[in-house]
Amino acid sequence: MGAVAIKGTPEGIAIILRGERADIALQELEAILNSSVSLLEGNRITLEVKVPAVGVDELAKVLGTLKSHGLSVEKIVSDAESVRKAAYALGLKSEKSRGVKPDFALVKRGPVRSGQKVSYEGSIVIIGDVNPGGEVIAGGDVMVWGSLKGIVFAGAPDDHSRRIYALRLEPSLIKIGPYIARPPEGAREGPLKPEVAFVQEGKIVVEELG
Amino acid sequence: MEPRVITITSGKGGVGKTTITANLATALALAGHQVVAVDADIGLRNLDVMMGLENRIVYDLVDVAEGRCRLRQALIRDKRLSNLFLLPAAQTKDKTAVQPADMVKICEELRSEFSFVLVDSPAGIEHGFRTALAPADEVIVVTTPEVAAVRDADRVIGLLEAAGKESVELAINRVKPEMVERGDMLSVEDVLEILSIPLIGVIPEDPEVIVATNKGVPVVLNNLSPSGQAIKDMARRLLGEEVPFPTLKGKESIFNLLSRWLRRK
Ligand SMILES: Nc1ncnc2c1ncn2[C@@H]1O[C@H](COP(=O)(O)OP(=O)(O)OP(=O)(O)O)[C@@H](O)[C@H]1O
Ligand SMILES: [Mg+2]
Repeated sequence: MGAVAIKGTPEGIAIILRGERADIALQELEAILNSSVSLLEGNRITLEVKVPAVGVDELAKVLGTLKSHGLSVEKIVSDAESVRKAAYALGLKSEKSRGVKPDFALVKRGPVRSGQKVSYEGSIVIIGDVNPGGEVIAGGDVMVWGSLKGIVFAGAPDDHSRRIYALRLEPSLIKIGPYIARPPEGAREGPLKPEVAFVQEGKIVVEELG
Repeated sequence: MEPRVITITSGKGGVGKTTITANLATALALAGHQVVAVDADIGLRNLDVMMGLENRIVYDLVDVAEGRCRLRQALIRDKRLSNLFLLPAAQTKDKTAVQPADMVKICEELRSEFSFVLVDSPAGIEHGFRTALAPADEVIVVTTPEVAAVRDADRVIGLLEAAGKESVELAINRVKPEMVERGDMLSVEDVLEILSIPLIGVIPEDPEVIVATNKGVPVVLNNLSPSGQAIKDMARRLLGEEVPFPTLKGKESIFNLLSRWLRRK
């Protein structure tokens, strides 16, 4: 078990094939379809292929199995070029999986000074301050163990689920995915107060931590 | 002791680089060291004026770089202190006439005769800045407690770090305690917190500086001047002495702690 996963996505249903072997995934898929096909019917279906070495023949078999249960696949998602080529040969749309940023973090000692830019496709942790004029651009989350006074961009370029944490959150400009905000001018006094910024209902909001 | 080449720079213009270079050179010479001050601000020379030596210039840095004279011929001995010299900048020539490699070569030669070579850098981060920085073993970044100056200093410190300069220290000039108290100006602590490099000097705003500049007599020669005292303290710190920073109007001096802590790193 475990070679097939089915999950709901905003666009419909995703059937995910994984593990090392295509034949095992196919067997399992058949077993699942025999028992629960009615739940899937009528949905737009994306087939995500994570099994390596799936060629035209294997892919055709999978699609045939789905079809025999009355399910038609709208597109194929795979990071393997061979799979995308196979999809193309079978006249299906295909694309690379997206939005799954590596969960690695770049750790940098601050301060990030004016004119300096730290960017990384994953998350970024700054130990120290981000000074005015400094810039941090992360594909993932941003955490600043210090004062964040420069420009910060989390979830670059378009992932609005990312968050920005700082012991003192006073950026001159803040971006999360496609959203952008310019906090009010002027430094706030007082002790450090850890805060987090995230997107809620299409707006960047800031909340105290803890 | 190994000879030390120390460049004084800032980013923002007009914050007191030349004033500090002239006074620090004088203070180190007063302490008995062989000192030469090099004016690397080509086209806008004024270190000679602050040292009261403008009438004695025959050759300058560009003449040396371009081989029109020997280094010795361009050095001007101070009027008062026989162990203090000036290598003046050219007044009107091409700002790129001296290349970083020339500066390194000239300073190498100066090292054989002086224990301190102080280089006064031009403002900005362009060619002249890079030339002035090239020979430096140590760098003093000067800022005033103003947001724009601190921002530029931060930029410069970032560039120095990227260039691999390891010894970078901060001098905060024109501090006005009353304005800090009123909250109209960044405090020394604020500046240190942002820039987070070791502190080498805190120099108060002092009308004596302008008087001294006009007379061509550095303030460190005036025992009553607070800015002169502060720059003498700076010289002592450069020589390795632990000189506490005076507390500002009775406030607990966090920057004493902070700077000691930063130095330990
Ligand atoms: N502590 C001080 N108190 C009062 N005035 C000062 C002080 N320090 C510097 N000044 C004045 O500020 C002006 C600029 O100083 P200075 O020429 O040393 O700056 P600079 O950084 O070398 O400038 P530039 O970038 O143009 O080379 C001068 O008029 C000087 O007298
Ligand atoms: Mg100057």
